Amino acid sequence: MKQKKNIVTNFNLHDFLFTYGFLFVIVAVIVYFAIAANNFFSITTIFSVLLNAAPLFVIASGLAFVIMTANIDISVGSIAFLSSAIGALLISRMHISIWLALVIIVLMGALMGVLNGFIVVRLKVKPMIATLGTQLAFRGIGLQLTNSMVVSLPDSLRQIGNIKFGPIYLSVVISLLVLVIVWAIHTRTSFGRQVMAIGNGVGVAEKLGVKVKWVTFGAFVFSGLMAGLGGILMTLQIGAVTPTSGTGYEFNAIAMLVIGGVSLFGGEGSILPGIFIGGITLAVIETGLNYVGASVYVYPFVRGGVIFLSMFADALKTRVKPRVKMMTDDEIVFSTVHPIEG
Amino acid sequence: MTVPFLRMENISKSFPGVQALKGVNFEANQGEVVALIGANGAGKSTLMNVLGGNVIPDEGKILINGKEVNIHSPLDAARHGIAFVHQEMAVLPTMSIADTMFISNFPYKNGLIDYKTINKRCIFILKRLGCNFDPGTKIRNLSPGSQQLVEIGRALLMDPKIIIFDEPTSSLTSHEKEHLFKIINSLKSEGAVIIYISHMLDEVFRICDRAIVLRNGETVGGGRISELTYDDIVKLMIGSKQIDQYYGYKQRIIGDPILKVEHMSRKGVLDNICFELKKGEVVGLWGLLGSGRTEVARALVGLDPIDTGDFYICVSDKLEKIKQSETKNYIGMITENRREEGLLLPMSVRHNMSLANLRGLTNGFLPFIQNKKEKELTQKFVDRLDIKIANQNQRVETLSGGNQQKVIIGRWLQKNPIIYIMDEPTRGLDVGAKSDIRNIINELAESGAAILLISSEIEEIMSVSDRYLVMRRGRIVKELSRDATKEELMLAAAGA
Repeated sequence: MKQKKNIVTNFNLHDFLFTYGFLFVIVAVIVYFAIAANNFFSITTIFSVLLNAAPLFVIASGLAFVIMTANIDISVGSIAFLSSAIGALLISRMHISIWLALVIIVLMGALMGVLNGFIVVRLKVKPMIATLGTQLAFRGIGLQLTNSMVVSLPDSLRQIGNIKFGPIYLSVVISLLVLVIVWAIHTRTSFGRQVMAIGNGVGVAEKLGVKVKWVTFGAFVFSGLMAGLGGILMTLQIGAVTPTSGTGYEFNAIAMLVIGGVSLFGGEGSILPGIFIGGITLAVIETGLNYVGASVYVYPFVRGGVIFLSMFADALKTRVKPRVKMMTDDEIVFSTVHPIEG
Repeated sequence: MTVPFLRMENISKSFPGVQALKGVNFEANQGEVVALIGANGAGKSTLMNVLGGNVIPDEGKILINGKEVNIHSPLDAARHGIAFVHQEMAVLPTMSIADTMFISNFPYKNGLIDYKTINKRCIFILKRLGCNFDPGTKIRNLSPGSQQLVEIGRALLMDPKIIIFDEPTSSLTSHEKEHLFKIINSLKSEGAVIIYISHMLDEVFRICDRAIVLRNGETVGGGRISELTYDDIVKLMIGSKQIDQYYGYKQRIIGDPILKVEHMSRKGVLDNICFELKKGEVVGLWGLLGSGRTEVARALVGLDPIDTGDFYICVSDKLEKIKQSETKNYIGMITENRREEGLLLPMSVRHNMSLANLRGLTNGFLPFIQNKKEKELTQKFVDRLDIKIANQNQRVETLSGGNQQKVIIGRWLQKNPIIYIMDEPTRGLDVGAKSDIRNIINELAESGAAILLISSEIEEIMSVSDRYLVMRRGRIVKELSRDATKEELMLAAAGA
């Protein structure tokens, strides 16, 4: 392929920095902790970091679709809690089979996503308020069902949570697998592409023939479904559903996405490597704080700071963007041989 | 004679308040570039929107290749081989060329989007358009001209027989324009029907074979380009109707300059705008749609950023340099869309009118608005402008268009700036209200204010202006005195 040389390359440093600027942050963070904490840089640390991030990887990958349409879903933490609470109760009280319970958990998550999607798309309530409402409601229902008690999983299930492939926990493997599948959905299906189109502008997407309402609705359902799946991983790790399971997950997930380059303004970002980078950064910070023996009260402060910084960076990006779009004449590359005339 | 490939017969369409098309006939043959020409609001875009399925006509039929077709949606139009390259580009900045072109119908293979096929077709089409981009290039990294090529590329995906270009050159550089013309020529030689909507006459004479001129929703003439001159077309565009009366125009005493703008530029929008406004003068800023008239106004009051430019205002007998952010203190701006940009529709007449002058309504240093003062001032200007309202608390959205416009003018009168910018102040108003507004303009000028008037109606601008600035492509191309004729104005704007 001789022509390849003429083609404008896909890689663009500016684009890369825009999207993965936080790579530098993660490197800086790792270097800091490697110096501050002894034996921070070990294989075990890496896997404990991954383990911490596993349920959030799954939840964030679903939430990403909603955020890419320039909407938001802050009920994912409560969805993870309620759906896994229902599953755990069904197992411990009704003694249904584990596999059926897992399917039910995921379906319940999707169903809650349907409700969110209905409220936002059909009733036209602002997504922030709609999902703030369902966030409270879902947790309320879950607390009522569990009597605000810890629902433990039976031993057989607890053992699943402890399965390891070498040093790697099962939930880590699942979460990475899920990331790859969701990545394929995002980059290689019309649903994924059209989600991005909507994030670029609802009007434009409509003009181009995208069924905006259905795709947006689909994004909420998908987010709910992945929250249910994330709930399963979260429960397997602890071995029980506690009244506080999943609290704050929505903001951790959002932070993960924003750090990974998913813009809250929609239409921008990637599942891989975006979410992976975001998740690792966040997990490294928390694990690192643990290693240096920071006070527990520092955690939320640092997390808040990181979220603020990442969102500020996101806002900065949108301010800078229009300048990048302008290109001058000479940068257009014309083919040497005109295909029609030549 | 052979049957034309495309034939639109007796197309009529009315919108609330306007008859946009009155039984228009239109024909085009394969391998031909037909220019559709007309002044603003002549019905060009409506006619083509009918063909493109965006507008359903009240009457009339469309025949393609001798067969009648029903077009009810853009999808129908695409099915009949009609592609529309819109003036306003629908682009997805964060997505790739390939995604933008295929977003509504991705080809699939094994349950995943088949990017191999997409890239192949994409490269093929981009080649046909004479560019060599990688299909994965993000749209935001393309210049506006290249973005438009992507639009054209999407139109070509369907292998269209009829391609409509609506003002395709409005955001292009001259280099990109040449490239577009090449593409149009090659499409033509492949046997497509090209319809080229434009009011840029130089372009029309460059690439079109035939021209059809619309005026007020009717076909008024046309013919082979080789047999037409600029003057013929301009005459057809504006009609033979003379301005019946120079509406109450009196020679005014024009004073010293009070606003001077120098070298105002914004890349791709405004190009080195320089002009002066004098005391007691009405200056008509004339130009066709998209020539940059509104952009000048917006930049002048600081609504849009500029790259370079100096502003001088006469505060006390002397022009003093001020910053762009300060100009709005001296200028009252009456915007183009009064309903969207000018008024707070659910609020009352009084609150709308006091909006620009809230500080003037407070007493001393206390930040509270004096109700009594507000009422009195509102009443003063309601009376002066003769605004028909039930009471001051009436919601503005319940007023007629003319009265709404007067409310906006009244708002600025309260503040009493020395310069007014009026962008299409009489759009959509009835004859009576129009003449009211013109009266007000005259009165304001006589009282010593400077007025920059933007209007698409040539008669209107000619009836009140003391001087004209003619714009084209973001540049002030000509300054004409009051005695310029309609033809001179139109020729200057259309680029002769």
